[in-house]
Amino acid sequence: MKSLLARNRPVVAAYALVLVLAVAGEIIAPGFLRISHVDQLVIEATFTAFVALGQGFVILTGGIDLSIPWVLNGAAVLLTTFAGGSSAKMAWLVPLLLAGGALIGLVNGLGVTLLRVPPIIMTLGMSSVVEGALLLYTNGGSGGNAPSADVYLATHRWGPLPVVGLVWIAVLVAATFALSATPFGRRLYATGLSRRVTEFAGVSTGAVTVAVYVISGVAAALAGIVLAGYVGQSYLGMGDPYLFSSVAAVAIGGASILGGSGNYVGTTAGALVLALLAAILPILGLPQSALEIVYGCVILVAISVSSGRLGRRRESL
Amino acid sequence: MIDQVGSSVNAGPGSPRRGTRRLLGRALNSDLRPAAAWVLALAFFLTYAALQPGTFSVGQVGTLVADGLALATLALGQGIVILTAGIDLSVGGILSLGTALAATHFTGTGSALTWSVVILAIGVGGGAVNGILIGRLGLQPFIVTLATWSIFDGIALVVLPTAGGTVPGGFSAWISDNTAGVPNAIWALVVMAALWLWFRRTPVARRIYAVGSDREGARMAGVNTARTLLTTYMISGFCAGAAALFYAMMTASGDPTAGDGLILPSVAAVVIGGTSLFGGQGGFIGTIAGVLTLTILGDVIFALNLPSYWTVLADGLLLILAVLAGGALHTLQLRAARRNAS
Repeated sequence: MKSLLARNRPVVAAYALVLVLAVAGEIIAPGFLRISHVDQLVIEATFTAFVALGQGFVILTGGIDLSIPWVLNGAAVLLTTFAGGSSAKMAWLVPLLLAGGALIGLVNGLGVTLLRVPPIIMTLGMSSVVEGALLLYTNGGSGGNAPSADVYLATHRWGPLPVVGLVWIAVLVAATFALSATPFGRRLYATGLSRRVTEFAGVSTGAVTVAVYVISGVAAALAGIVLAGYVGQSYLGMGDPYLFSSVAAVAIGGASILGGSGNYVGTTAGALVLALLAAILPILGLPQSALEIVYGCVILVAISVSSGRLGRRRESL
Repeated sequence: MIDQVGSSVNAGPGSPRRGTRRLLGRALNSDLRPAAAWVLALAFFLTYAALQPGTFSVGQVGTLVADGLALATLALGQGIVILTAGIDLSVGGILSLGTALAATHFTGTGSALTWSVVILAIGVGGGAVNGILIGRLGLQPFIVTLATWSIFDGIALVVLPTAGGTVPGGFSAWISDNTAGVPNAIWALVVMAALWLWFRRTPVARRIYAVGSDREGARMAGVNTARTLLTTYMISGFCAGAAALFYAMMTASGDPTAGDGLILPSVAAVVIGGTSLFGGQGGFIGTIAGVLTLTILGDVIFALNLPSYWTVLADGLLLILAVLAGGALHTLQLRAARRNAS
């Protein structure tokens, strides 16, 4: 037990930060921790948690996915446009949109592995292609209203539990299981630690790399579907904040940006930290835009700390 | 000579008898990618000229260059960063903040001068932060500059929450004015090109190329890689600040998100221009062709009456295609050079 804690010190630190911020919020604004507001915070953390799921997997292999904001935006716009307010149509639209996210991820992954385009360039280019296609499709206008089933999914509560929070828990369990108890998880960590050595061990690192970009595309599409339900509609640019927040959540969660270490339990705490900060800043009289400054600072601190840790680990070897 | 493919692949010592062969070898050894970029830019230019009614004047070329000047300035810095095998995403944030400051703080000649210096200083300062984290701490360029991009974007939004504000007419008029019968925008580009041609012969530039082509080797040879990377990112930040000034001149207002859409074109211009993403090869002359290609592409789309959104899509596709084409051309060339040598 003690060694488990010691090994996951960054994750423990992230959860400690969640506690500190929650208590600080309650002190600054009494009622901050009432059930309805906590639910609100959890719901708002979900979107970041979903995009950070994909970003985290990509970062584990040492890559990055810059196409997340527009994949998210695309899923949201297409859902509201095609459903036209009809919840029944979500039955086929949701699987189709998730498949669309997977397809974009597949192209990203193949570009990175087969064509050897650096991840940052491949996903930056893909982001622009998806953005351009979406602008052309909507002609710069906004999409329609979200169907009621989507709104239900994103905002409804079963007793004290938000529905989407339960989806998050399911994702958390699935991701943690995939990372810690399956051959895929072991290959993922191995690929992130050393691509060459993993190749020599007979693992196809290309397949692993393609898989993480596919997961990232699906996760971004899922976030878009849920976010459209939460906002009640879709509009262009709604995905913009989620590039920085996805990386920040992963960084706070203690993952090494160089790949090879980190898990979704930590990223979950990272998403909660960001949602708490987003709620606390306005209380302190700071504008929402200050949040972007916070994202940047958080990423810088997290990578500096983790690089220091890496340095020490190298020295102790 | 450092920015040529041939530094690593020699065609072998040639006797006078094998003069022709040597010449051929040298042509194969020099990097063809910037030349290919100029051919592409010229093709785009001719297409555009053919679509335009009437003949082309210096003034029209001036407008074209003015349209691409902010991008060219941004790409000058981005290109130097890419020479070290890095990338600078923060140029977008610095440009956004620069235009936001210009739109809110430029009131007269005096304040415009003072705040121009402040904007350039912010660029250099931001670049220094990137450079220290990347050079001294050895952090990944994309993640460090992603973080500083976010910070500068946030500050820009605090300074100017939505697009708007104005810059004094005298300031914005400079870019469309003429000096000695030639548009100022063309002068600015010529000065930048001249500065580059001077810079690439300096010891600093040699160290940048060395760090980009083989970091460990450069370190062994006594190059202070941390300081070289610091200089590189400071230059890029300065260029982003200057690009912000040009952008404010062109739009005569500010936009706190202006830079976000220019990050990809700045990288694309460099890559189309034949600079290798893996460092050590390329330069600004090819980048100018990349900038012209992208700028004319926007104008061609406009001339064809297509929605301007096509540019966003086309820029993304061009970036990926340019990476692939550049890589393929380079591989073919290396193979040909090797065959020539054996």
